[in-house]
Amino acid sequence: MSETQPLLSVRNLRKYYGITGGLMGRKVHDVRAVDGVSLDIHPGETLGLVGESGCGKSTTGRCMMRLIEPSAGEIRFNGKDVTKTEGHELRALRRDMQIIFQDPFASLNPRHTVRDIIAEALVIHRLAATRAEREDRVIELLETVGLRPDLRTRFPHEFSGGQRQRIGIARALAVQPKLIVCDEPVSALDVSIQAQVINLLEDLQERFNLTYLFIAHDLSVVEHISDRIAVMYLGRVVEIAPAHDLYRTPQHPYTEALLSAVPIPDPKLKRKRIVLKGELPNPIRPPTGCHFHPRCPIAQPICTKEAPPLTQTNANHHVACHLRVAV
Amino acid sequence: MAVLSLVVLALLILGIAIGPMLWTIPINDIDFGAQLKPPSWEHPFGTDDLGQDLLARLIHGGRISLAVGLSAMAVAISVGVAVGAVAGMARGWVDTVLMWLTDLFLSLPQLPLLLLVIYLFREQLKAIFGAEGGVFVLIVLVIGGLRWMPVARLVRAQFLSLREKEFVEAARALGASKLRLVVNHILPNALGPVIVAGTIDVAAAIIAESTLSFLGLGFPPDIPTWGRVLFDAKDYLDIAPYWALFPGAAIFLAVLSINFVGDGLRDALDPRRVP
Repeated sequence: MSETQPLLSVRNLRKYYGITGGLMGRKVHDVRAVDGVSLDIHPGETLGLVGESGCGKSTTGRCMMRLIEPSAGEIRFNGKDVTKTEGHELRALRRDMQIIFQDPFASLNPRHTVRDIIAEALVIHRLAATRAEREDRVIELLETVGLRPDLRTRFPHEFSGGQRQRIGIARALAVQPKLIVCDEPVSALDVSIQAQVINLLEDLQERFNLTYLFIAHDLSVVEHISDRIAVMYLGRVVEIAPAHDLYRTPQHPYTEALLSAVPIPDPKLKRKRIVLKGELPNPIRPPTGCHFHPRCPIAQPICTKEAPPLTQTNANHHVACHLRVAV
Repeated sequence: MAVLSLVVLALLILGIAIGPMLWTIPINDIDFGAQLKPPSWEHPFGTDDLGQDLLARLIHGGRISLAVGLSAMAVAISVGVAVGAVAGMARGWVDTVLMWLTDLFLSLPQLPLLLLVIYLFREQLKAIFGAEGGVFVLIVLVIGGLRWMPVARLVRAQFLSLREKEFVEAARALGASKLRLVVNHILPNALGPVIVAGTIDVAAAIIAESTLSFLGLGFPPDIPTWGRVLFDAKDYLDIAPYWALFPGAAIFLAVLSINFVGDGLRDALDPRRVP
C-alpha cells in the first residue's frame, strides 16, 4: 500500500456501549458506536475523517487516545499496542498523541489562567526545570499559535472562540506530540475564523512535522486540509482515498451523496443533487449486511445479507461496497 | 447585598468577640432586685427572671452559637465532599453503596435520633472534654453528621457532569493523574454550589442548636446560647417579650447575613464574573 511504516495503525476497532434495562440491570442492547474500523495514518500526513453526527468518528478519535476504552481491536502507535499500555507507559505515550477539541468554550478550565492551562502539560511531564523556564516555554507556545504572550494571565472567558481554540492548540503542542487528533476543531467557529485556525494548523504541521487525524462533518473544510480522507457511516469506514481522488471519483454511493450536498458558490451551476431517503439508522439495531443499504439508491439483494469488506479498487483507493468493487 | 451582609456579620462577630471586654457584667450575676426589667440604660436588652443581664448572656451565647454553626458546617462539608467526590469518581458499586448510605441518612427521623444520641453519649463525652466541651463536640458532630447528605449529593452530581467535560478530558489526554484531575480541575469547579450549601448549613446548624437548646437538650441551663435564652424566655412571652425578641433577632440576623455572604462568595469566586 504505502511505502512508509504507518505512525498509527488501527485494526478492527470496536466500541460498544451496553444499554442496561429492567429491574436487574441486565445488558439488553449494545450501541455499536464504532463497529470494526481499520485505518492507517502515515507520518506527516493529514487523514480526514468525515461522516454524519453519530457515525462514530469522535469515538474513534478518542479510542485512539485511550480517552475511551475500546471494546475490541488493536491500535498501534509506532508499533506499540496502545490498548495494552498502562500507567507509566501510557503517560509516556500521551506525550506523543494530543487532542484538540471541538468546543473551545468547554475545553478550557474556566478557573485556570492561560498560563496554568498551557503549563500544566509541562508540569505533568516535567518538561521545565524551573519556574522561569516554564514561563519562557509558555510565552514561546503562545507566540507559536499567534497569541500575545502578555495575555497569559487572563482567564479563558476573556477570549473569543478563535483565540480559545489557539490556546487549546498551544496546550496540545506543549508536549511536542507527533500526532494530534483534531476533533472538529473548527466546527464551532465563524467561517472567517475557521480559515485562520486551519491555516495555523497547516503551518504548525509543516513547522513541527505533525501528523493529524482531522475529524469533521464539513467536507469542504476537510478537502482543503487533508491528504487522504476516510468516510464513516454508522460505525464503519465505507471509503478511504486520497483527497482529490475522493472528490473527483467517489466510489461509494454514500460518499457521492455527501459530496453532492457540498454547496458550490456559483448560483448558475446546475447539478444533480442526490438526496438520501430516510435517516441515520439506530446504531442499537444497525441494518444487516451493508449498514447503508436501507438508504442506498443502488442497493441489491446481496447488500442486505453480507457486509462488504473494505477493498482496494485502485491505487490507495479503498471502498466498502459490493456493487462498486465487483464491476 | 452581600457587602451589607458582610458588614452585619462582621459587626456580630466583632460584638461577640470583644463584647465581654466592653460589657463587663457577668452572665450569671443574679440580681433579684432587677427581675424581668425591660430594656434600660443599665440593662440595654433587659433582664431575665433571675435578674441576669440579657446583653451579657447574648454576647456569650453568640460565641457558642456561631462556633457550633461554623464547626457543624465544617463537619458537614468535609463529610459531604468526601463522600460525594469518592462516589462521583469511583462510580460503579462504590457509588451505589455510598448513595444508599446517603439515602439512609436522609430518611432517618432526625430529631428523635438527635435526642437518642445525646442521651446515649452525653456522659461519655463530658468525661473526655469537660461539661461544656463535651456537649459542644456532641452537638457539632450530631448536627454535622446529619447535614452532610445534601452536600454529598450535590458534589456527586457536579463530579458526574464535570468529569465528562472536555477540559477534564484534555487534562486526561495530557496524562494527569486521577488525584490531579480531582484537585486541579473537578473540585474547584464543583465548589460554587457547595459554598452556598455550606452557608445554608451554618444557618441551619445555628437553628438546630437553638432547637436542641429550646428542647432543653443542648448546653446545660447555666450556659447561655441564643437558643437556650429563647427557650428560657418562652414562659414569659406575654410579660417580657423583649427577652425572646433579642435572641430571636440575633439568630435571624446571623442566619440571613451568612446566607447572603455565601451567595456573594460564590459570585466572587467565579472567574467569569468581571468585578
